[in-house]
Amino acid sequence: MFLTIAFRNLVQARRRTGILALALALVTMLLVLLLALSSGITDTMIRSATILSTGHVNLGGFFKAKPSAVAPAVKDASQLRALIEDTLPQARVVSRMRGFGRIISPTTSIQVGMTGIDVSEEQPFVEAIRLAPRSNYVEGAAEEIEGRLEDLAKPNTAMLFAAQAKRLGVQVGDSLTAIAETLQGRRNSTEIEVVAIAHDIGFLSNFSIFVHEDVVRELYHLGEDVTGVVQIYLDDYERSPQVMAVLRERLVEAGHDVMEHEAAPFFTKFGPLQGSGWTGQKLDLTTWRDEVLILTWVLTAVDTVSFALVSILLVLIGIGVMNSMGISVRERTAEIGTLRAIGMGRWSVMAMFMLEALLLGLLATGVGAAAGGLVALGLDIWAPTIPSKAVQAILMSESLHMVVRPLQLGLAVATFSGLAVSAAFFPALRAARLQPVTAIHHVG
Amino acid sequence: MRDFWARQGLVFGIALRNLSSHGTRSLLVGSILALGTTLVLLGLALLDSIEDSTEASITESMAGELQVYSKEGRDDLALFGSGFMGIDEIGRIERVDRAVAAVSTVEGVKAAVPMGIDFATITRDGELEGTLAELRDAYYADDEAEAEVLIGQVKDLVQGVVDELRRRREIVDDPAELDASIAEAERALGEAFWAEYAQDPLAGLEQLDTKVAPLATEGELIFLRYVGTDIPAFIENFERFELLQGEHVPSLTRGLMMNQKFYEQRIKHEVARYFDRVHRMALEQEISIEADGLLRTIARRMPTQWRRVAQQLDAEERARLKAELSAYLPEVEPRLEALLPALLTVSDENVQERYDWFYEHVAPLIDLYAIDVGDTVTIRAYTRSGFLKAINVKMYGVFRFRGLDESDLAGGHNLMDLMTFRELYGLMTPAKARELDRIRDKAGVQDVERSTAEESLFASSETVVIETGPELEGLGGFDEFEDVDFESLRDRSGRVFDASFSREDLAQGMALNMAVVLDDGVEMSGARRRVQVALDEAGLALQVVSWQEASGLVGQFIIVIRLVLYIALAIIFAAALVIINNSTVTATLERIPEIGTLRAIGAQRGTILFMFMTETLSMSLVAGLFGAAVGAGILLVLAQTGIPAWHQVLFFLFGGPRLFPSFGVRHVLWSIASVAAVATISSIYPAWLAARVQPVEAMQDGD
Repeated sequence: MFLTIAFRNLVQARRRTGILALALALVTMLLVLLLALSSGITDTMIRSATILSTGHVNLGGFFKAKPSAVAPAVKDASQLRALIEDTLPQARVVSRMRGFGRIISPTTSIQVGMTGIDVSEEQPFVEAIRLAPRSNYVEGAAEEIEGRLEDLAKPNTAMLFAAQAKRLGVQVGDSLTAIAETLQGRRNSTEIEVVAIAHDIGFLSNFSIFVHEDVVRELYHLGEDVTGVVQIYLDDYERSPQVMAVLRERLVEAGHDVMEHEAAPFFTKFGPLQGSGWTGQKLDLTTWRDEVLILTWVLTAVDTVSFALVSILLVLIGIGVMNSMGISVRERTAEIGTLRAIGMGRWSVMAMFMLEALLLGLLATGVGAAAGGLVALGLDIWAPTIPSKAVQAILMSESLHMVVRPLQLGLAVATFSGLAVSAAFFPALRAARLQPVTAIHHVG
Repeated sequence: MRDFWARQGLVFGIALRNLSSHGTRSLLVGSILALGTTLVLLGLALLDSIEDSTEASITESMAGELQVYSKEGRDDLALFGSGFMGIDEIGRIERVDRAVAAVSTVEGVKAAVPMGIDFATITRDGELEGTLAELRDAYYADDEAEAEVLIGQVKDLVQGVVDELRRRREIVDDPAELDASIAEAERALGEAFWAEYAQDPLAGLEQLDTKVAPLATEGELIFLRYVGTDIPAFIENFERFELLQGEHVPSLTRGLMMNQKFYEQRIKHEVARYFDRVHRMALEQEISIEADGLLRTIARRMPTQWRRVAQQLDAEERARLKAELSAYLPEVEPRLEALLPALLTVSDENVQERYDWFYEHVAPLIDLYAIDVGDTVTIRAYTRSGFLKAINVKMYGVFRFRGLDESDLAGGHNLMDLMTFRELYGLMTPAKARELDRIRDKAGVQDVERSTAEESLFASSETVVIETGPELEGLGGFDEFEDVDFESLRDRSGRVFDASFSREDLAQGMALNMAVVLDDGVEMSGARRRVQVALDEAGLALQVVSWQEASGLVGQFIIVIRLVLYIALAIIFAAALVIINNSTVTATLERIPEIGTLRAIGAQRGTILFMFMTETLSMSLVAGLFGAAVGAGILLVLAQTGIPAWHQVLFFLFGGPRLFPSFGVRHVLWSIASVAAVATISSIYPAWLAARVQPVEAMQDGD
């Protein structure tokens, strides 16, 4: 019965409720959109990072021939892989070589990370990479796609990203010189042939190219059973920390020297390692989150701005609901008096008003959340190109990507409905405190 | 007329009475308006402060208000990088003198400074190389006692090389090749070698220098970002330039000057840098070592770095430091291997004390800076076609940009003379071109295509250590190696080849871009048009951009932040609009009888409208003033204490660890005006409702 009364009241005060509901719905929609944007960025980040530079869990390591000479190398790779595959039979495991150097074309040169892969075990990578049409890197060229990623199986081959190819002024089939600059100032070089050019993956892909694993081996004179990192992909990336802990235990048991966990990308560890005294091999376990740590500031920024904005809006909406309920209580004082006179309890009166607010909240936020979800999904499908380079850099993607999570919709509805109810608390309390006699006499 | 004012006064009075009689509602709406004003004021003032600090960081350090560069480049000018690790291809200003002449006569232009921004690396000498150089000096100085000590050190270091190679054997692809190297190094440990050395020290040194030293992976690679420019002109026109150590690079001389920030963060001893960083974060930014993840990581890394201190000490210094440390840390085992890590273990409580102790007792013993003022530094860079080039230049001094010490933007660039830049860039100087022509005429060498020259370099073998390629000198049109002074590369004490150049060479050569500094108070967009016209009239294919455009992503970043703020304010205003409107409409409905009465006794519609608007406006003024006062109060407090940059990105935006915001009258006016506008818009509908009320409605029942 309360529900009916509450609903009737809402409908009766149509104009007031309508505008308020609209505001509530819009704000909920905004929150949903912001959350979807934040999830979208996280998603882009994980996707780009896991394609380009990290597994969900990484078993990397450093080899120091002397205290100050640090190489991102892991020896006895096959044995370590066997251990991982034994510990995590479900996981997908790939080995990649890590290098850093300069790529030189006939016209210019760029500095990039060189990731050496064995393309035959990189099926998901091959599927995730989309090759770019020639028009992406050659001014005025046709839309045709040249090259094949599978050709990375041939020795001395490389895959570039479109922006790099454009900058270097090269096409599929051209050859480039790769020079590795070791931290010690030695420079070795080799020739590589471009076999494929891929679409950029945000601006992250500017910083790395993919080469046949032996290119990196050759540049650094590394042996067959040496790798850079063993990347482990799980079904659920949220489980990374637990999996990492399990692996650590197994590795230590097997007598490996594993570095203390440090939440930082591997390339920031060279400097500190140069100063520490040990020599030989140490392993380093990290999660994807550690490897993209320097990028997470974007998420922090988006979340902070969203939080500030939504908080201010919460206050505004709260004031609005309080105001509206206050008026409702005043208008209906006589009605309250009558209800109380025919035996309705104080708390029931209060519950009636709170219920009214809850109903308003649920309806409005429900509609808002649904609309927000739909708009976010629509935007994600439409994927408009972001006009500003700076925004592209911030969002780590050239087009807008949004992810709607049901839990977030629930969160948005709950937050604003909760707010509506709590804002109705004081007006409702005032209604509950009214004496039936005074209330019934009240006019207007 | 008097009647008019009397009536308005009356209306105003009614409006005020209404406001106070509907206390709660007015308070609600008023607080929304006040909150809005505070937000707008804070937002605008903070943003402008950030923008001002960024603008100063950019324009007053190296960009000038305008930048001129080629129309023909492939990439846009981005002074602070465009998101690639490499150099943008922005084309060239072929003749510096013509561009400067065209621009400097333009009204409002104070000066034009040619520039070229590029990357290079500095390699620090390896320990073995350094010790060998000292041994050579000792030999020439006939200091046998010193030579004896140094020979002992050389043997230790060679033993180190052998150990290193043995370990490396575990991961290399070709152990046999490495075994040969190991044998080579071991030979230098044998008695036979040192017996030979006693006979002919110079031959022995040569052997060690060329055969053994290169086997060690030594030295450290430091990336150097620099602005190649006409240094005297640069110093004259960028007023924030301030010399801290050493001297200016003399006019028409090659030389390098290091930015203090770079000097402190790259050239300084690693352990001192750790101390500086922890000290700054813990004490200036008041971040707790215990609570903050990043700082904790840094602090945890510190004790592991003790060897960097120990390896720079000789026996006597070790003994002295050990004694002092034992006295300072009596509870620690009295060995340097335990004492130094203990000293470097910092916590929130002891960080200040340890920092002071380090600088008082340890710093004087170690090489606090790897490069000192007056040293000659070997700069290496890849030329545009990817060849390595090395040049020795003298480091003349350390400078900073006054007030921008903390800014990453202003602090990241060092200064180099324009001639050295041109050579590292890889273009021929007119003098060199003439000389090459002469050689070519004489020898009748045909021009070798650059591309085939490269092939002949790389196709021959898979692995080329480019530095050891002097045989390329004979390649005719190939200028890249012309200048690598292989002798002085090896001999650090060596002379820098002719360090002076002529004014003509400076003027007639190229630059990549040119900063245009305007006179104070000159309006930028007008000056920009005039400069462009002057360039066009001079027939130069050059374009002018503002500093914002020239700063690449950095400038856009600020625009994005501004956009986000505006959108956020717009959303907040929209919500406020709805809430205020809602509340005012209900209030209006309640007042229908009153309005009807007023209308009945002769008030015109206009008067009612005016009354409502007055009500809203006066309320928004009162609330606005109140909100602005709160905002101004907050800003004044912040201007004293500063807003700490709790994140690296903010550090960058704030141009330092704290932002000290400032605000002006225009911020206050804007905030009040925008809120008044919102209030007015939100009351249009209710006011219109009220004005529509018919007098007869007053007589009807209030319900």
